[in-house]
Amino acid sequence: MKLSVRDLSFRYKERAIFSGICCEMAASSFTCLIGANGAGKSTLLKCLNGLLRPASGRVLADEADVQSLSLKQRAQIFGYVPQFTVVNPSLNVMETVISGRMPRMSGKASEADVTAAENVLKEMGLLAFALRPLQQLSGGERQRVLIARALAQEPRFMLLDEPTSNLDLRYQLDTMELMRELAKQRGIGVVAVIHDLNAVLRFADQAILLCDGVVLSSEAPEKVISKENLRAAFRIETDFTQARELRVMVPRHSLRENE
Amino acid sequence: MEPITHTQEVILTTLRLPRVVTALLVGGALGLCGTVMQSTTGNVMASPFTTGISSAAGLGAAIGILFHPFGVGEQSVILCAFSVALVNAGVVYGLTAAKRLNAGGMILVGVALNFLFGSANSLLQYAASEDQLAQIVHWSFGSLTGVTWPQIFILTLCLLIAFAVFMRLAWSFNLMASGGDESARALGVNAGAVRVGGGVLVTLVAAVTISFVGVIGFVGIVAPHVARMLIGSEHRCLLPASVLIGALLVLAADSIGRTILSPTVLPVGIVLSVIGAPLFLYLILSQRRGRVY
Repeated sequence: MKLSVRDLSFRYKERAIFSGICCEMAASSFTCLIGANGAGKSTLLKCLNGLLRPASGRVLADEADVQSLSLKQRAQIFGYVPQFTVVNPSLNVMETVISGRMPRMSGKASEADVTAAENVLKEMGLLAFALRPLQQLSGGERQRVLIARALAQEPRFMLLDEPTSNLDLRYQLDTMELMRELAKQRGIGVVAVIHDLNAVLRFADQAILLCDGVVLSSEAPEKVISKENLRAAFRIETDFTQARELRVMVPRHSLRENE
Repeated sequence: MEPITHTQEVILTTLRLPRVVTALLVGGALGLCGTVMQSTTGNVMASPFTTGISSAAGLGAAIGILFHPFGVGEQSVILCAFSVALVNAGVVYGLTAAKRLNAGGMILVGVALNFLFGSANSLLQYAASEDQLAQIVHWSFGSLTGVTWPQIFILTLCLLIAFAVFMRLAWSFNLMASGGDESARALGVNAGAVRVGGGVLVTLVAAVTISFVGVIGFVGIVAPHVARMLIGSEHRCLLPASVLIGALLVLAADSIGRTILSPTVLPVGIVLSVIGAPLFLYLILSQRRGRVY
């Protein structure tokens, strides 16, 4: 399955967030949305799965316009892990992951739904936590549970809004590796808003850089994350260095208004 | 053991038994509806009466007592209370759907209507005779006296239908109560439709209940909380628990109200608030930190 964004514009009342966005995201590929705060990354993510209705333009899942699909159909295509999720503290891990079966169940969770949830927990290494209430888990473990809930939807695309924010270095690394695995081993198209540009350089197949409401660049991360693009999008000067086989971006200083 | 006399049988089947069954049904229905309102609005202060339905039904009852639009007698009062409650529901949910209001907006519309209907009720009380005023005030206390078997049948039907529908929506309530509308929509749940549809059903059940027994307010807010403290927020368990606890609360309050100052019978609504409020405060304050509150 392929996700195509065609001439997409979005505005909150009079304020245009972005306009004329065109890009493509493929299955089995890990795409990162990058850009400064307020560039419209989260808004674009919510337009992809139809949570927000664009002012104009279309998002096509293969040939189907996402806005023309029912909520249930959209939830069968897109798993979504929002930036801030308040979870029901009384639900345990298993029940939370079963709730991810909502788009595929009719009122009651069937045996098949329970089995599907169990399988996801097993794959994610969460089976030992199955009966533990969410409020007893650490931030990183809870993030994995929410990703597991989205996986239980059996989505074609996973959309994640800053999934590594608020995580320590180990969980950031684990989460980035997990997203790459989902793309490579399960054939899911993964689209994530990520602020850590070095993690994007290391893990992503594609980066889409948003700047001033347009796509400044959309291709392989090492081409998108360049001195010139970062100067334009973030107003910072950067250096690049090599650490073993990895290309590493080092921020030097921010630019003044007249620079 | 001696066989019961005819008089005892009549008292049992026409006074005691209907009263007990009504207490269980009314408490169960209001407990269930309270849980659904709290879940669909994501607001732990919500109750079946949050949308102003109790004030609307009170106004309807006052209209029935003063102006007899459907004739004289108890049935007329019931019909008036039910009709104005439905008007209230129509306005709240009509505006919510038409203006695409979120849960907060819906509650505020209900608060505004609550004041509007309450003021209109006060105005009618101001104009009422002493006898009429006594009837209006007595109605507002809530009483389980005089409910008939046909009315009990209607209450049973309402509770069963509402319970079946809400149990089917238990997973949706789980998502809406915790993660909010966006999280629910991302999982294929039309949160707005569940809120309006569930709210309309809550209103119908609450309207029937209020019309038959008057306003018994406290149970609709306290039963869900007690149930949540005891078994948590998983709605497949929370919904039946709310029914059970609501039913037991009203039955206990009515039994106390009937016997504590016998032969004087205290209205069930008053007993529920007097005994329930301190108990509720105790339960909230004795919770371990970070559990539910």
